[in-house]
Amino acid sequence: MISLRIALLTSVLGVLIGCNPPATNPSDYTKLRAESPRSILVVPVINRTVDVTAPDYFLATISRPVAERGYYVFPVNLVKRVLEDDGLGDANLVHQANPKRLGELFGVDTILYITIEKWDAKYAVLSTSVQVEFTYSLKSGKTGEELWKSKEAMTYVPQNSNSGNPIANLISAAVNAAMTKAAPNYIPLAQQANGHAVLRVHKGLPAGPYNSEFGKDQDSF
Amino acid sequence: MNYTIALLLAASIASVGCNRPTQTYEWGKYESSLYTLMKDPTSLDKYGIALQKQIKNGEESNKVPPGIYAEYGYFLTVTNQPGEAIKYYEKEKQRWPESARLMDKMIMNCKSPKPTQAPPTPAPAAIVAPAPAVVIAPAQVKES
Repeated sequence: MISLRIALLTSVLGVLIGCNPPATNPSDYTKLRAESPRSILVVPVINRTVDVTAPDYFLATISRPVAERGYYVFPVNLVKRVLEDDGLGDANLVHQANPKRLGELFGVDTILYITIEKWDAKYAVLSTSVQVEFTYSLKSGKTGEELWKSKEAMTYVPQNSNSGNPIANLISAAVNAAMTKAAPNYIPLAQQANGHAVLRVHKGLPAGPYNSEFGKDQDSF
Repeated sequence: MNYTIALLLAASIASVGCNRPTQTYEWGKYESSLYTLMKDPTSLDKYGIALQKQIKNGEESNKVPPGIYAEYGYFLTVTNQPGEAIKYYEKEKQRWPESARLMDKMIMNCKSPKPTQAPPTPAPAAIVAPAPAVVIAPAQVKES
């Protein structure tokens, strides 16, 4: 009987962890669906915070969720270096450059711009918290128009407090574990954040051409 | 018996609950090794090894993710193996036609490294690699 309960509990937990909370304001996908891009170029991330390593966490963890959504994601490290060679190594410069120019240069359908607006870690003995806020903007490499955008703002409070949001709790656990080490590792946090941004129903990215859901997910996106 | 039914039920609830897809591609240590490389350029070798493993495992199950052949090609480029690099750029192009224009450029670049662009300035940190001791630099052969 006990194992039965555990089994049930585990499955309920699985549901909670697996799902993303629905968005309150569904995104407008008209332009994105009209262009139906196949490929996404992720350019270096703009950092408006004092944490100098934050952009690296995001760049290293963005390819997986976007590729798993079914898009061709350009090799982020190669792209970063090629941009540097072309004098576009500065994230601010790249973000200001005309998307059409990048579209032509790389032969890419869309460009994904990420900005980290906030990344505040408050270290304390009993209650450590991280406040993060970031924006995502996908622009057409053909017209330069914005096709999709998303904004995420969350506070992660580790320790045993329950925020009521299963995903936030999960991240809290990861962050909590990471912070106990001398050198904090935010990869799990960045993974969750990027995954959340592209997967969330009515807010994330609709399935791309390499995903079996392609063209069948209008109810969700 | 009841127990089995309950488990089955629980499992089905879990799978119906949401459509979180399983992973399509083999990611290996891509994320952590790339992050380490960004923080510490001297970890380039580890990054290269991680990519190599990822490709090997990915090819066994036809799950090499987009961009990975190209990332490995770039690793080969900066470690002065242009011939090998071209092979991987070609693989990327073949597997993912979306990459064609960029891959053609990378291949061109391998065939004629550093073309006419800019006078021979030492180009600080233009390339991630802790530059190998011997660099083939045709520009230096230029006669005055």
